[in-house]
Amino acid sequence: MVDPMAGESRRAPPLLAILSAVIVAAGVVSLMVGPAPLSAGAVFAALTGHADPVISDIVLQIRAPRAVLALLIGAMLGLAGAALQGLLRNPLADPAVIGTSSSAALGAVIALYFGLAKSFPLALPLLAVAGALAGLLGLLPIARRGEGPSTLILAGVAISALAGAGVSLALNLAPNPYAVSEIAFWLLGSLTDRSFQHVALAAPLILVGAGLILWQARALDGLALGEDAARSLGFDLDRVQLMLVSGVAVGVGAAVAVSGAIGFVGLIAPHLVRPFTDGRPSRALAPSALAGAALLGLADLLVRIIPTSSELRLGVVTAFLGAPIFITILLRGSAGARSAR
Amino acid sequence: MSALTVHDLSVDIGARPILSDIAFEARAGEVVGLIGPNGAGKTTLLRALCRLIPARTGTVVWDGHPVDRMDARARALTLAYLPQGQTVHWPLSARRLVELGRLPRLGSLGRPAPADAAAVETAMTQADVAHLADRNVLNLSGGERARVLLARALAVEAPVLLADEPTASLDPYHVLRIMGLLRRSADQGRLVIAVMHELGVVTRFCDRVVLLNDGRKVAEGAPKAVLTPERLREVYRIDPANFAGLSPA
Repeated sequence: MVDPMAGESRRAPPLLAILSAVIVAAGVVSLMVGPAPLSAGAVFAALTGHADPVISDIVLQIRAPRAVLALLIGAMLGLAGAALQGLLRNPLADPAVIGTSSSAALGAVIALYFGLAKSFPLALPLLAVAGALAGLLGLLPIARRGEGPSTLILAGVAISALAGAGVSLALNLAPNPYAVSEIAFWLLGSLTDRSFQHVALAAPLILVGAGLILWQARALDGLALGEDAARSLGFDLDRVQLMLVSGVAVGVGAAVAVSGAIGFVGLIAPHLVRPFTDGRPSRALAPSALAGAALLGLADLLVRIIPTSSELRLGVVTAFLGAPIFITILLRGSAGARSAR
Repeated sequence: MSALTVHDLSVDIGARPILSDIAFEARAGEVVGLIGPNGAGKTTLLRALCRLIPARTGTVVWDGHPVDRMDARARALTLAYLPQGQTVHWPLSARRLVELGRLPRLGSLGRPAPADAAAVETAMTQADVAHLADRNVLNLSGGERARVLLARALAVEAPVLLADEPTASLDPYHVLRIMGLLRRSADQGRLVIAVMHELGVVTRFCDRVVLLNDGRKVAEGAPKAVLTPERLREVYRIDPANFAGLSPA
């Protein structure tokens, strides 16, 4: 059956195909590079169970979870960025704007500060998810008190500031310089030494978060006409905001819990794909998720390929990649949300 | 014949009463002008009719069905609302924008049917924007964009169309064009309720007007019967003799 309202989005299929190809390539190369470079053939043998146990372990136990997490987390960040830009009708919105990244980071920092992560490795991501949810619980009552996007943004600023203060307090009171550097390095983001335990923790939450967001995709389209028009089209905006913000908090909270705070992916992924969509916010969601996955997949490759004396952190690379891309988009003047009147 | 019956409608914003005891009836096929000076409560009344703001007291009933007991979707399918201004936040094509009028029929996950595409085509033809279908609405002129946004509201195919200053900041040619579209849409069986300021246009296009002042209904009836020189002086604080262009004659 032909979809009469989607028929003309001629440019969408090649965009999705190109992004998918980049993701597959990044995923495959990601399994090849590392301290022990492997050929594509060796990776293939390991994936199909025909390699010797050492290579098989390197590919399946060390590199595969890292590759899966990079793509999964990048996709969640890209999706969250596109959803928040649509909800807030603001092209500068990203997952940090509602305070999720900071409150998740605070949860992780608490785990590091009290040394919980040493006795129980999953304490860190679990506390980070708890932090993200606590931030959400703080955000929602404030956001519900006002109308329009500015209340939500200001509530996010307040939650971010509070969580940021908590992180600063931990750095301030840290018993020794090693604790300080452990916290500081974690905050820069990384996917080194992540296991399938991390995948098992993050993936379900990311799927739930993404599901909540995709369920509300049409409301984002309605919001293109402003809040009154969206409500007159039958959307309950309180509910829409609750679902979207919860989806972002759960999904991005899980992402940050595993990788640390990673900036710019959620901001620029929607901008990268928007010129190739028909302008409807709902149609930017899936491509933005793929672009986020491709970006983070490539960034995590660069972390391993660029030779540096100490390990390059993922958040540093995404910022160095992201800022120039963002500036280019701005200079081309195609930043998306231009409003009439 | 279907009718919208408004009974004893009072609306507060915060603790401040904005509308008090508004009552009127409007029937399918009519163009009803909501008129009155700035701050009279016209926009608030329009928003209260489709429950964008809650009423403190009173009821709004369409065709025997109380509007506040309809679920959001049924309400959206009964009362289409064209807000003031020309807010469009993303660079949509005119066709994509008009398609947004079908969202109440689709819900969150429904698939567009051929009927939806047909309604979009009809609305675009009625508003005379079919030739603009692939243009970015942000690049259209104010008059063109006003017609595209009106087509969006028509595409809902609701029996009632509530339009808040649909002709604001348009040139006289486009004012007449938009009003002609609303008139035709009423002739096809819709009820059109529009907030209006140009009294000459009101007289020409509206079957009836509801005159508001200070949150209360002052008068209701045929435009010429309502817009007497005394009322212009009292309510609008203008002397019709000095403002020939504004007077309904």
